[in-house]
Amino acid sequence: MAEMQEQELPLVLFIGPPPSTLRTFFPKILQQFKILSPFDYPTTPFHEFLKSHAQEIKVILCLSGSVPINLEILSCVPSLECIVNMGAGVNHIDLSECKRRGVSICNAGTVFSEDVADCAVGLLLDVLRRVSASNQYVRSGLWPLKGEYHLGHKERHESNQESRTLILVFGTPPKQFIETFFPKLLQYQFLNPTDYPNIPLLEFLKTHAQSLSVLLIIGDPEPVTSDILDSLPCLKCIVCTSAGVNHVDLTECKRKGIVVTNAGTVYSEDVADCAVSLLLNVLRKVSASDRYVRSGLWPLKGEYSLGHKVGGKRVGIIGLGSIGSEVAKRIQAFGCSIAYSSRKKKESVSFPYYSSVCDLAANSDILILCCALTDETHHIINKDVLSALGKDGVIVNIGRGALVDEKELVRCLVEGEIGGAGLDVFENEPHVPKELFELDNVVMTPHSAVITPESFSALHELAVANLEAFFSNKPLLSQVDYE
Amino acid sequence: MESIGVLMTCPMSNYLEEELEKKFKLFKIWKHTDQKDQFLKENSQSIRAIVGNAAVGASSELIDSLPKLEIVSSYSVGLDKIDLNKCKEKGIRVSNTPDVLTDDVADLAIALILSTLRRICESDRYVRNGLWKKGDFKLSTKFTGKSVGIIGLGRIGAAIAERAAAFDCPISYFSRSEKPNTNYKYYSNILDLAANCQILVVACALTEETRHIVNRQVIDALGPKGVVINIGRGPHIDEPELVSALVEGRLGGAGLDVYENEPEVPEELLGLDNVVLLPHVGSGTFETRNAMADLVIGNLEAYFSNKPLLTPVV
Repeated sequence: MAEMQEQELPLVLFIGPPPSTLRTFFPKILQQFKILSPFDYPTTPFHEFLKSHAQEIKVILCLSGSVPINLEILSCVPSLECIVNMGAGVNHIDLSECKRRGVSICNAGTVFSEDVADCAVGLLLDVLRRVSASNQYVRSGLWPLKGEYHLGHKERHESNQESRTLILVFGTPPKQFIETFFPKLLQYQFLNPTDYPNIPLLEFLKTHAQSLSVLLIIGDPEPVTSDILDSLPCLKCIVCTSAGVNHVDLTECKRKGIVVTNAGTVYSEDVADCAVSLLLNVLRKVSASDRYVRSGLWPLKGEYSLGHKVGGKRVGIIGLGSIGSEVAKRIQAFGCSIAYSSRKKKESVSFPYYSSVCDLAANSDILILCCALTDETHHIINKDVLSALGKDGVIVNIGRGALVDEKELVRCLVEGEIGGAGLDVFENEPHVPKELFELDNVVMTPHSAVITPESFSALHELAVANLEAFFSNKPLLSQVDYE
Repeated sequence: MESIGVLMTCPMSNYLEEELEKKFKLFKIWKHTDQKDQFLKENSQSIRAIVGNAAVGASSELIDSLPKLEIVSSYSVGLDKIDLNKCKEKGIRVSNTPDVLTDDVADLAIALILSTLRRICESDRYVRNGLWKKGDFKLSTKFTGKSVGIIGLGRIGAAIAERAAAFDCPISYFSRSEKPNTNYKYYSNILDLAANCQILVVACALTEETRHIVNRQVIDALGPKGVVINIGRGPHIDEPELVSALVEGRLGGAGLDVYENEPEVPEELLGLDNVVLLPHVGSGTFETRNAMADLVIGNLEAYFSNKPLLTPVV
């Protein structure tokens, strides 16, 4: 190929990487233009180089994202007429200065658009369908060991995305949990403050949630205080997924006209089953004797110690709502007598009523806590009640940890002042007082009374039904009384 | 009656021992295991009664070695450890302890069902091992409403049914013949019972016919979501088949109070989370054991005062 004399080639100032980089992909530039580059004068500082060599320069060739073509540089190139940028973005060029001096700018136009668009779609598909992550999973040999990789997400059509109603959500179960147990909730779009961990909660609510009318609380996360409610001026409805709503400031909700729904009776059977199982387990020492067998002591030490007959025991139920009633129904079949205490006597119920929990305790062998946690019921099981229950008495708690003065309970159990306890809830979950671990007459479960697929399925239906009812102005299904 | 010799087969109740010592001449054979034959030879002429239990009863051999034996008063309701035919042949009376332990055994059956399905022991272990701080426990499965199939609808089976009904469980049963006056569904074939229930409870007496009544086929019919509960006798279930079904996941879980070779429990079971293992405590409460002891003594006193036995078997 015939080359023009070097002196005759037009001079172009190249600002960016060394000119040798042009050789691979842009050889025609080197053939047709003389490149002036600061890399040819490595010992000269850049501005000095410009002042001594670039005064006649009419064209700058540059690359997006490398050296900024700012006011300082532009002022050292007085003859500049045109900047040719080898990129789509021109944010590294001082556009207003160029406009002022009449310097034209060209960029990469649309030559990149297809490749970049392909890349955007590729990233989207990779994220949604977990391509890179599952590729890594296979490469690290985990597939034969750990089995099926977890599910990705179906790509949605744009129109569906836009039409989903936005609801505020507190609580962060893993996405898989929602997909497995609450798929119908995915018809709503979730706004969750934990996706924005760098923004304090109240600030987040004030900037992102001002127009939201519904708050869905999954599980039992941080309390919904009056401060939070004040930051949600359009809030009309709180949908809770627990039976207990002690974490919501009901007084404030009543004042603001915000309705609150809970899990209604969906859990009652499972919780009642759990209460009965804890009772049976403590009286008949099921966990303790299971441990005895597993530790190989049966052949060595012989018969395990005796438990206590369930039939004929006097059971006192504190709180005879949905859960308390289901407990009573089951316990009666074991030949136990039932008495109860609650805020008010229930006229339709024939069990003996005690207005004082202490009196109930004095007349019971077993107390089962089935009431809501409120200011009035906080530490309803205290020193006096435990003392009235006596050294053969058993406490079963499937309500809330704070219904019991836990310190006092532990002391009574350790010192043998009460007979035993079956506990699914504690004052400071997941922390459980270590002293209880040594005791064979205590059975502890990790707040799992409702953790069954059946309860979740029932809750799913109810939560969705409440949301749909709210958004179509129909009566809610499991609205909570403010009292 | 203080001169009447009563042989007790093994330690079973301090209260019963004390009462027997007060009222009769008590021979504690387990204290002479090294010279058992010698001991029997020396005392056989004065021994007129045996008090046995579910562990050690009145075997053919023992009966033969006691020529003056007139009555076996069992500290159990189960009779599988007594050679009943021999007793009938020799005109030896037999009594047991029905009714007083029915509630306890039925209560325990439900306790086993709940503990197995709701994973109570497993989650109690979880808390005690400090694991709750690391994360929530897994799902268990609901009991209320699940179908319960009972093998044997006698006193204990019926008491179990009554309790399970309070949990809204549909009840079905298998027994030698259909029982009148029940609303529960009857299956004349145990495989059909197993195929149509989720929780299978063994509550019948152990006889030649019911040995290994829960075998591989029954376990297969019950299936990987099914649970077996045994408050009967260990030999009701083909134990090796049960173990391999649990280990291989062909059976969902088991709640066991009895085993083929007590107090030995198959080692494979000790490591499984979906089983609850109890050391034969079906009637193990202070109240019931005392009532059982009173019944044993009551039967002996009745016999030796020529009165009708309180709870005769033979």
